[in-house]
Parts: sequence; C-alpha cells; structure tokens
Amino acid sequence: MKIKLGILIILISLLTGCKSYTELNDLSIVSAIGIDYQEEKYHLIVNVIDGKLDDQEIEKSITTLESNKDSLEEAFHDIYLKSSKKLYLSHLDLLILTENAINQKFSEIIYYFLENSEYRNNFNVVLLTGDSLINFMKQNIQTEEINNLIKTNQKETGFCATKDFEMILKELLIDKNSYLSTISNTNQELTLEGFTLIKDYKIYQTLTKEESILLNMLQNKIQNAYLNQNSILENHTIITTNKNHISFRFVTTLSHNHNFQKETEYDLRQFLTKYQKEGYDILKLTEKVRKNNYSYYQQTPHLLSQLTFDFSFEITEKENYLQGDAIYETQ
Amino acid sequence: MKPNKITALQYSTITFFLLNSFLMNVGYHKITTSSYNDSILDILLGGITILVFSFFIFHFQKKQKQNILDIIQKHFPKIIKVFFFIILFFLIGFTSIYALSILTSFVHYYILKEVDSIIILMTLVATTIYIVSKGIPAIGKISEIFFYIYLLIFIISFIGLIQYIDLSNLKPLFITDFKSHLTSSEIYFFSSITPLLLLSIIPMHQVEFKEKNKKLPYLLILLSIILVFIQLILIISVLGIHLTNVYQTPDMIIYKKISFLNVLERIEVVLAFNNILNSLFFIIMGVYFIKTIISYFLPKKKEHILYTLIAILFIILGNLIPIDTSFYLRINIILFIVFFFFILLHYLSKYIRSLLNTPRS
Repeated sequence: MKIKLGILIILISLLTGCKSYTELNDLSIVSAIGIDYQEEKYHLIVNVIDGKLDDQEIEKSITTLESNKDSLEEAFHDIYLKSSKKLYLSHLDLLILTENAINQKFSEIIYYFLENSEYRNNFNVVLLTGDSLINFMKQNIQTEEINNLIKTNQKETGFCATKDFEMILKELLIDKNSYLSTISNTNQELTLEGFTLIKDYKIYQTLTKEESILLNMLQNKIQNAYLNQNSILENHTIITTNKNHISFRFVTTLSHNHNFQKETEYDLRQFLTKYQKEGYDILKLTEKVRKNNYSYYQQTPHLLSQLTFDFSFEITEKENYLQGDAIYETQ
Repeated sequence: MKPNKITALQYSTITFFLLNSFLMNVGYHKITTSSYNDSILDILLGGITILVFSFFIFHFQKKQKQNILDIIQKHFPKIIKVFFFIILFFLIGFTSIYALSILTSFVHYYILKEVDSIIILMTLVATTIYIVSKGIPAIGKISEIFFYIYLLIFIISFIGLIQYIDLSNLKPLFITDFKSHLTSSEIYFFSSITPLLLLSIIPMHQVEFKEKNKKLPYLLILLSIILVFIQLILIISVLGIHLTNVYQTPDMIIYKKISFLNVLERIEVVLAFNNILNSLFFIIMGVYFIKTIISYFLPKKKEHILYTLIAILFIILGNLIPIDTSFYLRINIILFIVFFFFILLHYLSKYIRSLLNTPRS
C-alpha cells in the first residue's frame, strides 16, 4: 500500500499539465512582425496585443517591441528579453517585409518561419514600400485593418490578393519565384500598390495596377474589377494545358461590353509574352505542364519559351432592366 | 470472455496500432522524398507485401499456440536460446527506446512546448510500465477502446480537410524509377512488419478466436493500410508534394488547417492524439516483450524490481539514444531477418527430429 501511495505521489508531481503552465494574462499575442535589413543587421519589430481588464471590460492595447541584431534568432531572443509577458506566436496575422529584407535575406527569413512550429502557416505576407518600417509599425495600425484592406480590394478592385505564408512557400519551392501584395505608407496614409514580383528570392519587378488585375484574372482570383473601361462583375477562369499549348477560358459577366474581349485578349497576350521572354514563369505554367504531361515536360528543354497561349471568352452582359422590354407586360 | 484472455477484436486492434507505428517511427517524409507522388502507389505495393507476410506470421503463431520465447526455451539448446534471447532483447530494446524518444520529442515539439522533455519521457515510461504490469488482457482492452477513438479522430480530420483537397497536386504519377519504388515500399514494409512481429509474444491460447473472427486481424491490417493510403493522399493533395517533402511530420501541418465553421479551430493537438496512440502501443508491446525475456531469468516475486529497472533503463537511454531513422530501419531489417531465421531454424529442427524418429525399414 505504501509503495502504491509513493508511486501515486511521484506520478502526481509528474502531471505535465500542472507544470510550466502560462496564465492567459501572462501572454502577449503577437499580431504583426516587421522585418527590415539595414547595415548587415536585422531590424525586427513586433507588435503585440495586450489585454487589460478595465472596469470589467477588456481593453486592447498594442505594444511595439524592437530589436537590431545580426541574426533573426538573436533579434527574437532580444525581443523576448524586452517583453514582460510570454510572446504567443500562434496568432500571428501579418508579416511585413521591406525591400532590403527581401533582397538580402528573404530565404533566411522564410526558413526561420518554416522551422518554427509555433507559427501557423496562414499569416499574410506583405511588402512595405515608401516608409521606414519603424515609422509604419509605431503607427499601431491594427493588423486586421491591413488584412481587411487587401481582402476588400481583392473583392472590389481586383488588383490585390491575400497571400499567406504557405502559398508563398509553395510557389518558392517550385521555382524560387513568387509575388507579394505591396502596401505603401506615405504621409501616414496606408495604400495598396498591387503586386511585387520576386525572382530567385529577390525583388524582380513591380506590377502596375492593370497588370495586377490581369494576374488576378488569370489566376481566377477576381470578383469585381475595372479593366479596359469595362466593369467586371464576375469572372471565372479555367486553364487547360495540352503539351505546350495553354488555353485560358474566361466566363465573365460585365456591366457593359465595350470591346472587352479584343482589348483584354491583347493585354493578356502582351502580359504573358513579356514575362515569357524574360524567362519568368509568372503563372507557374511549366509546373502545370509537368503535372498534366510529364513526359512532354521532360522531353522539352526551355519549355517556358515554347508555350503558346490561346484565349476564349464567354461574356455575359448584365441586363439593364430599365432599357429592355422585359418589364413591360404585353397583351 | 475468460479471465486472462483477450478477444480476437482486441488482438486485432493491437495489430492495427503496431502496424500504424510506422507513421511515428518513420513517417511519410522518408517515403515521399524517395518517390514523390508515386509514394501513394508504393504504400499500396508495400501494403500488399505486408498482407502476404502477415499471413505467414499469423499462420506460424496459430500453429505453435505458445509465445515465441516459450518455443525458443522448449525446442532449442541452451546456447541458441541465449543467443536468441540476447539478440531479441537488444534489438527490441533499441526499437522501443527509439520509439519512446521519437514520441517524447513529438509531444515536446507539437503539444507541450513548455514542458521539459524529461518530464514527458518519465510520464510516458510510467504509463507504459503501468499498462505492461497489468498484462496482455489490459493491453487488449485499452487498444480496443482507443481503436474507436482513433477512428473517430480520423473521420473528424478527414471531414475537416475535404475543403482543402486539390487533386491536381497528386499529379504527375509514375515518374520515379523502379529503384525509388522499391526503396519506399521497402521502407513501409520493414517499418510496419517488424512491429507486427512483436505479436509473437502473445501466446495464441490467450486469444479467443472463434470461427467467424478468423479474418479479423487481416481486416484490421487492411484497414490500417487503407487509412495510411488515405492520409497520404490527403497530405499530398492539400500541401502539394514540394511542401510535403519540406516537413518531417506533414500530417501535423494539415491538422493545423482544420477548422469547423470558424468556431472549432486549433484542434491539431487533439488530432495529434492518433499519432501518440500509434507509437504508444508499439512501446507497450516492446516493453512487454523485454519484460518477458528478463522474467525468464528472474524469480516471479521480484517483478516490481524488474519494472523499476526497465523504467530507469528507458528513462536514461531515452535521453541518450540519438534519433536516427536510417539506423532504426536497419535494425528493423535485422530484426525481421532474425525472426525468419528463427522460424526457418524451428521448422528445420522439427524436420530433422521427425527424420530421426522415423523407424528405418
């Protein structure tokens, strides 16, 4: 009996849930991380949300923590030292990178987040231009605000799209190329700048707003957009491949059709051939060919340059009830 | 059910978990990095081989009625007996400690980040020793209960992942050479069949097999292979093969995505319970095997000393043994060869004895 009791006492002390626990009040939720790279040092800025109980209501406040170190790990350790609470990384919503950080340390940054199991892969990644990172982060702009801005613009203007870490990682693993949504902060005004292309872990080019809409349209990410004096109300893009022949079929609803097909087809062709000539596979079309026709993919060197594009449109014009006859009953 | 006996279903669920231990001890990473999308086919290829060999294992066991150690004790001279006992002790001991350290680091990395590894290790060892001390009937009952929980968790994760499935990620198929196919199906086969050999410690007279339950172990082996097959399809179709190859445990990454109506989120820790179960039953059976080997040399009354010794050994070595999957796979192959060498030797000695006993005409 004594032995059993002894074992029980030892077991109780081993109950893992009771050891090393952290109270909810002792947690700081990391909502946004900003990374810059200047003079061979990482500049890490972390925005944390602290909840304070005030008059029985939880008051949210954003605190900005900052560190300048040689490596990202060192910078994070330094941030931990500055925080009185435990940093909770699982709720990270946004990673903001500067041009310098991408051009010099993009692969290292990606690897850091990939290796750390505390992060989930669903946080958005954006590129910041037009302002210093510290100025931007100290404005305490809510992460939700930035994410919603991107999300709303994807829906309403079509020249932006949310891209989470996992999606970027998937693209980088295919051919080291990807693209990011770009935000700009000039005169304390937050605006969206479309997409920035990344090639071999470095910034390659910035797309214009029209090009960003075309890219979204090709990737079936458009809901509403204004393109070539036409208002797109709905769009569905289907891509099929047959060896090096790529067919795009657009099922589009427009408010008015002002020569949409001809002009859009011209723009799309120009857009795709421009990057094809530059050897930049913007739509990962070679990967699509690899998936659908592997033997052809293997036999064809320089596949990207040999791709041909075909566009077909199925356009529906939204009926204007005021101009049509349909509403007048005829006897 | 008679006391000290287990039902055919309980025996089959132990089989199911032992076969699934591959998922923790080796994991999908080794297979997918070897044969990419074709690993889906290799699971089927390895699965068929497992089914064929499991037929031999069960057939041998049913014929003998005793556990493997009793057979060695009874039919072999002392030198061969000691040789087999020592080899089995070290090989099974190593695989069990390896599984324990893998499970500890898994729990520490994904579930209890704040808790020291040693505390997790000690808790796992204490749980294992307690279950082992209760004997085969308790192991059988626990495995049956957890089998239903396992299925429930699997169904929940499957439903939660349906929305993320992109079947185009499964293409292209048939792209790797014969050698890669052989390597990955071999990995699946050896890392699954060797844990199955641990069943030989359960004497068949302790299992209540009825005529209608005869095929139950094979059905649960088939179920295990099908679940592994479905899970691999889920992983590759959700993550794509490039991302799958990046992660050591891609199953945990897809669990993180599961959310029901944006209300029930972050349930990966609950779903990871299946991974723990897969490994835990392998460790339990391994410890039971080792305990049985040592008990041949120790008086029965000193069993509590034996359990304490095993616990201390596992806690110390669980911290020291490096996690090297390639070495574990090699040990598995050696263990497989040792078992089949034993079976061969057993039949050979039986044949020679029958020849010697046959009167000359």
